[in-house]
Amino acid sequence: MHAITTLARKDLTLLFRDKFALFWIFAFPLMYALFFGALFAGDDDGARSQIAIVVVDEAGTDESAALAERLAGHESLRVLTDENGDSLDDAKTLVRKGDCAAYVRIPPGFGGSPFRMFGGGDPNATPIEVGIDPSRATERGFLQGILMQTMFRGIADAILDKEKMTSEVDRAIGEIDNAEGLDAVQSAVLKTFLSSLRSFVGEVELETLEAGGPGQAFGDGQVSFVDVTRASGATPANSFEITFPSAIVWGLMGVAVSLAITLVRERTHGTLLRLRVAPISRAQLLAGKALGCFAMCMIVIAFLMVFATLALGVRIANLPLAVLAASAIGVCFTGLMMTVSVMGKSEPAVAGAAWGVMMPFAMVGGGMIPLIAMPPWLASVSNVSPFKWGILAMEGAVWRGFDLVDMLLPCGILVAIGAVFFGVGVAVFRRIDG
Amino acid sequence: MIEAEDLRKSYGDLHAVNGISLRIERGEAFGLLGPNGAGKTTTLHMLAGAIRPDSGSVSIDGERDPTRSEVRNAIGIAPQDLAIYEELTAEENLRFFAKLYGLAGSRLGDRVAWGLEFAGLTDRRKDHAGKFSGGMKRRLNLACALVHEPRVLFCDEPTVGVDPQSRAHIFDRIEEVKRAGCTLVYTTHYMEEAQRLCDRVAIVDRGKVLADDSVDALIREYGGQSVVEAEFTKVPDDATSLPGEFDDTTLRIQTSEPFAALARLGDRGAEIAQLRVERPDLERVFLHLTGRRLRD
Repeated sequence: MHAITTLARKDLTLLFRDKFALFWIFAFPLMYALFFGALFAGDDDGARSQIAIVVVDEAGTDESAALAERLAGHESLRVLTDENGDSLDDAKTLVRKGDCAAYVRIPPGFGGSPFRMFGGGDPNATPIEVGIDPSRATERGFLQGILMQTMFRGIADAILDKEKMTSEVDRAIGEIDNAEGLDAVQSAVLKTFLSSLRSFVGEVELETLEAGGPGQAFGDGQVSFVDVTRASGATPANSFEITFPSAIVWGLMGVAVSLAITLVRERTHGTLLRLRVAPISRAQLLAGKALGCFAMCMIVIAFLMVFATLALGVRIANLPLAVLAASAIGVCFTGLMMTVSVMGKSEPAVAGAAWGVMMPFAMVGGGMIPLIAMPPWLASVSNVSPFKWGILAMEGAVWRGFDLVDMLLPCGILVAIGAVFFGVGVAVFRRIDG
Repeated sequence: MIEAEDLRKSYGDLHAVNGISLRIERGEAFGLLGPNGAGKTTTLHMLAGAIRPDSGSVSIDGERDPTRSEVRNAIGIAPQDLAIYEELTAEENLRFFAKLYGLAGSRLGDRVAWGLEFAGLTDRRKDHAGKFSGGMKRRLNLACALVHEPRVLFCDEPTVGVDPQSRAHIFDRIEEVKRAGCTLVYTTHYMEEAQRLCDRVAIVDRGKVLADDSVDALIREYGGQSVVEAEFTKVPDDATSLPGEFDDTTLRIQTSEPFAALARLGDRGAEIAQLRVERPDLERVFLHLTGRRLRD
């Protein structure tokens, strides 16, 4: 054991003196976590990302102002104020420059009557125009839904206004009476319906419907969104709880690559020969390498999590499970290191092979593209990536509220991947070394 | 005592070592000489137990398994590549290798101090090896091989690529080690080193031992005669009857008794302006046995 710890300590010392390796192990993951954490955080802590839009109100009516106000108040929108005025050209410039995802133009003639279905309003009125950045296709449908919701909310408000509703129904009945060429049967049906509606508006206490708010009356308030986790209240406190597990895996990738390179460097520089002649077995030699890698993995995880906890308010929901996850991830990346170290006979070859192996794992495992953004087939492929299981295990301990049973799957897979890769690495190492 | 019997090692189609047998007595300095690619380093590594021969056997002090820790504790190796960690200091390098051999406590400290003094690096003990000159690295490379006081030292080109001062330092230190009773197995391209240091030399080429004997015996066997080259200021009257090749003013004689030949020239009244006597040496033995064809 003494020889193994001596070897491991030597590897740690060498790694801590390699500034280039330290960048990839500590600095890059930290930058990654901070950058994406800040990006996902939005303007206020914990808020979801909002779609930035600009509203061009060319109607200047009470209804258009109310629509603009409702859009500004929507939780998923951030309505920019154009300091240079509210012209359509200015709005288009903002979208073209990427300062906002879309503009919403409320054209002249908007408003008057929210009851066009009853024949009111200007039949030649221009519809609301939404100009969207072509690269923001994802937000197009989302924005359309928000606009429909907001406009319907305006109609709902009007319907619940008894005086206005009565006046609009009377106006519609008058227009039917004066309509030329309208079929008598059609006229009778419409007037019967509108008369019933007038009676309904006149006799029913709309305040009763209003009690739950306009939204309640028309049902859209019945839908609410909650973050699904096992433990009540175990949602990410901030976006860094999401980005730090990924950052940890990136850091461990740096550890595995750096230590794989040190092993091949031992061979090319002749120190491996000296170690082979020393009174230590090959098993001890490889165990020393593995211990060094595992210890460095633990150091990286501890560093990143302590930083995240103290500086960024990240909460670790279950510390023992976090230690379990960290250990499983460490075992996995130690195994990867062993295989990568025998994938070339020179430092450049191993470095190239290391990134060649690790980057696809990162890409399909959620290290670059969030798993939720992947098509189903790619999401299935991600199951082979230790990145996915590493991130899941760490998130499980940090904020997903996993219990021990939940942790067994990702941790078991990580340990299994580590064992397989370590076995492959040792077998190839023995073959190379004669 | 080191005994190697019919060692063979191939890498694909290349037979690096093709049936080498050696016997090296305890305390002996044994040289392995050969052109590039002759199989010296592979042989050395097999003797040290670093690589396994395809066939044949090695025993050190009667122990046939060189991987046993008792055997490995008795062995030190200074590889041709600088087998030191450039990111560690001189002291850390020595300490690391000493600890691998189980040294601890005051003995560890004493041996590390000895190693620094041996390498002439006591004043630079805290400097990273990467900052050292080639000569300093070579000295540290050798000190790391000796820090645990091995009974057998394998040196693979220990003085290659260093300045004359470092070379002299290393060579003096190796001679000290030899005087202390350590068995030396030494490969080098410097014939004068082998001639000065080694009690016995094996000339190796194409994976086989071509000759194995003491330096003097090899020279006697394969070195040929001495060459006496004399340039005359006054040519003797009967110049055409002189032994050897005569060219206007210069006479070249091959003889096993150069001083007798010189005396005979004086007797004939020759006045000599320049004289050069070339005695047979190990280099001539080497070239005689391995040929002059380039091996790059």
